[in-house]
Amino acid sequence: MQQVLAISTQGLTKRFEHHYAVRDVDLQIQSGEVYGLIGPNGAGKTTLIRILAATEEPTLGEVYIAGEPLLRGQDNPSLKRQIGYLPDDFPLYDDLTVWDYLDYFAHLYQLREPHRTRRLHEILELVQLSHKRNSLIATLSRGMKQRLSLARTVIHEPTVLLLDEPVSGLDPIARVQFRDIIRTLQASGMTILISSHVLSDLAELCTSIGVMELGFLVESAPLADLYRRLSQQTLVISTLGAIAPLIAALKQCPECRVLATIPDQGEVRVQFTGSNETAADLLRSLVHAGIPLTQFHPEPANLESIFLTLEHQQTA
Amino acid sequence: MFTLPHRLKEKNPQFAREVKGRLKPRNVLTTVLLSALAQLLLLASYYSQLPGVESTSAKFPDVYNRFCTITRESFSYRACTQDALGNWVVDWQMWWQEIVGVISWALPLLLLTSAVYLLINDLGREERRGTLNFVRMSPERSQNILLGKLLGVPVLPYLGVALIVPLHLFAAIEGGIPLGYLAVYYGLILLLCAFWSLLAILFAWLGGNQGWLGVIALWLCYTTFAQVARHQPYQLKEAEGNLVLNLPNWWGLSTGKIEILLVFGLITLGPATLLLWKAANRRFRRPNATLLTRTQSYLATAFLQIWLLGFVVVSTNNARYPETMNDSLTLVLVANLGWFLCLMAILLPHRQTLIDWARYRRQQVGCQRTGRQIPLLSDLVFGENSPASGAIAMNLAIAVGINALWVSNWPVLSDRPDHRFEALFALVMAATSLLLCAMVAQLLLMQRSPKRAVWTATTIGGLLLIPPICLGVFITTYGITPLTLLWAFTVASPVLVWQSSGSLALLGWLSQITACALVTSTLTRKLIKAGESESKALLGSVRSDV
Repeated sequence: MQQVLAISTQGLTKRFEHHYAVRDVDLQIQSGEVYGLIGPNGAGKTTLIRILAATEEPTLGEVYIAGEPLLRGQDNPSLKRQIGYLPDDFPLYDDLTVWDYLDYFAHLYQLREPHRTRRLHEILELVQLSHKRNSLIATLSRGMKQRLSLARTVIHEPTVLLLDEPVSGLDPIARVQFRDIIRTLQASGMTILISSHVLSDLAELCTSIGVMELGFLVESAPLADLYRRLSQQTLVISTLGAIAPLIAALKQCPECRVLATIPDQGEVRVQFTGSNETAADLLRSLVHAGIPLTQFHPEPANLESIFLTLEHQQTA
Repeated sequence: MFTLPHRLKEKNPQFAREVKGRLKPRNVLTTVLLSALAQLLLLASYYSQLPGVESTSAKFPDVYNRFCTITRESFSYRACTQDALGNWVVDWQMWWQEIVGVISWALPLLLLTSAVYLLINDLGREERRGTLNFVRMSPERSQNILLGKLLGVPVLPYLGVALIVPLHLFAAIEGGIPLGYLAVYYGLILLLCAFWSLLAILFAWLGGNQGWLGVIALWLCYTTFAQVARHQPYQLKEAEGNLVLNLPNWWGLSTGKIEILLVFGLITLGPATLLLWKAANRRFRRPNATLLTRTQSYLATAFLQIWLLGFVVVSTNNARYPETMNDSLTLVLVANLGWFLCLMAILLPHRQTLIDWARYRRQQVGCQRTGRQIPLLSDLVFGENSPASGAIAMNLAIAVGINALWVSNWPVLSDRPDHRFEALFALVMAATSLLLCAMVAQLLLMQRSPKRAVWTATTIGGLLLIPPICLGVFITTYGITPLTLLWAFTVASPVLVWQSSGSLALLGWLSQITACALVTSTLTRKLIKAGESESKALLGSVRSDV
């Protein structure tokens, strides 16, 4: 039996004047996935997320959350119970305490006792704000406010969580805390769509990646698949001696293209298109040429290089 | 066992949130003290006006005071008498009635002013900061959120006013005012409060955040209501138990009678409040949609016509002169002008909606799902995103239809056999000029300028005011000339029917129709251009470059 997709869109389009913010996007996200949405500023990520969260009406196209269509101009109450949305700005009620704020939203999401109080405790523990439950929101730090906003977003245990730039403006410790929370939420079975410019975070968290460019979804695939298809093997080669002989020897290798040189450290980064056997041949030839090598290893693939490759491909 | 606050929170979390933030002990205590102090001051002020230790002299032996029981009257004051114990004999009923009058005047003023001011400020702030968007995302019904805001935001003024009610009731009983009257009074106040509060909410959601502006508008409108409420006790006494107010007849019923006043108030304020309630709910759910659906606008227009006719039907049925009937028609036309201007603001979709409609009309969600295309005519009349000219035309047709029935039943006058036909023609001309006005507004709203709404409002305002004034001056100076035809392009086009010859009026109407056709053609061209696919637009620009 075919599994129902957590998020599915068909021909989703949004125009502002004659400019397409989102253009004919067919997005499919499997249940339980952590889907990273990347792309340059103005690519349409925020608009896409806002449409999925039902806070923006699409010009054209349809949205299904867990198989249920999002009906325009309707209240969509059952659908709203399945969606949690954290936008990149998160205005809060400064006059309320942390507990009262979450309690207010728990009521709005129609959580009933005794589940409601239990959920409030759980969620405060998850976002590490139990000790601040009676503090006024106005007194919280930015990181705490961010975590409180996330707590409000997941108070009703949505099946789909939409996060737009959730770690922007956070310090490294707060980012680590935030990542841990996302992992916990994923483990609880939530499908998470996360848009971020911090690609290292996404590489750690995501199971699939979508790339947006000029409103189009130009790539959407499992992360492993992307690495396999698009990552370029880069070799890092260092020498104790002068760098010129090393570069001269590398020019003899047809599968090599020098990407960068760091003369102070005697290091060269090479784009290598050959197989493992060719790499072994290259290493042997460099040793035979008398170059005193200190390093010869492939650099692990990363999301940033894939993103740059894709952008390059698209521009071309 | 659940406590009351707990149940309240379960029932309406929005109300509970508003109340919790406001009903803090210090605020409650201040409100209670202020309310008590105001009541004490009022009683003390009236107590000081009672006959006291005024000195009398041989030359002026009498003490005059308006609260004394009547023995004989000198000017507007009453001469006082003393009982066997030397106490002044006071007309306590009148004394209490005056207190009721003051409270009846102040109570709605306090209630409405504070509610309007606080609601505009609170919702304006929420809308500006974006906090309401999270509430919108919750599955809580919009009705509950609105109700929570309406009752919760002004909860402190409500409390203060509620504390005045016992004194009001006591004074009314002592003043011999029937409790039925008070019930009607409170009923109307509640409706009025709902009406103004919803108006304040809509104002805030349409971008207004100036509470004082709402208060000024309220105070201007309040004057009429306050006059009615304030003078009732005196009139009650004068009419010996029968409440008679100087209000116009409505469908032959005297609205001066208390039962009719209640029905009239309910019929007037009830549907208006319901309409605002629907608009506020719709606005909350869909901030970018028009305030009302087109079907709602048709119902509202039909209701308004019947309501308006209530004021004029009796007078025209008994009229002997055509001028009396034309005056009644003018009254209806002026009221309709106001309503149709509001309708334009409510129904005209904005540029983006029209561009999307023009581009994707055939691919809209409904069409995709059902696989059936909505006919253009039906889309123009009932659709949400199509140009509103069709909907305005439909509203005008409803208004003209209902008023035409009224006009055709006017009495026939032997000396002016064609006055009914003239009136019907005036109706049609007024409707055509309003349609032209709506089409121009729609065209202006298609501009690229980010301030197109302001531009449209200014242009339409200018078109409404300046040409009739200029033409009025011209006609009084030079009399009827071919230039009188220009009246046809103003909202006062019926003047052409009443002031000029029949042929000139017909020519004027034909000119209106031609102007409408021209504006429609321009609008259609713009829409077709806006609806062009990108490839077509691109090819077009390439071709023009070549």
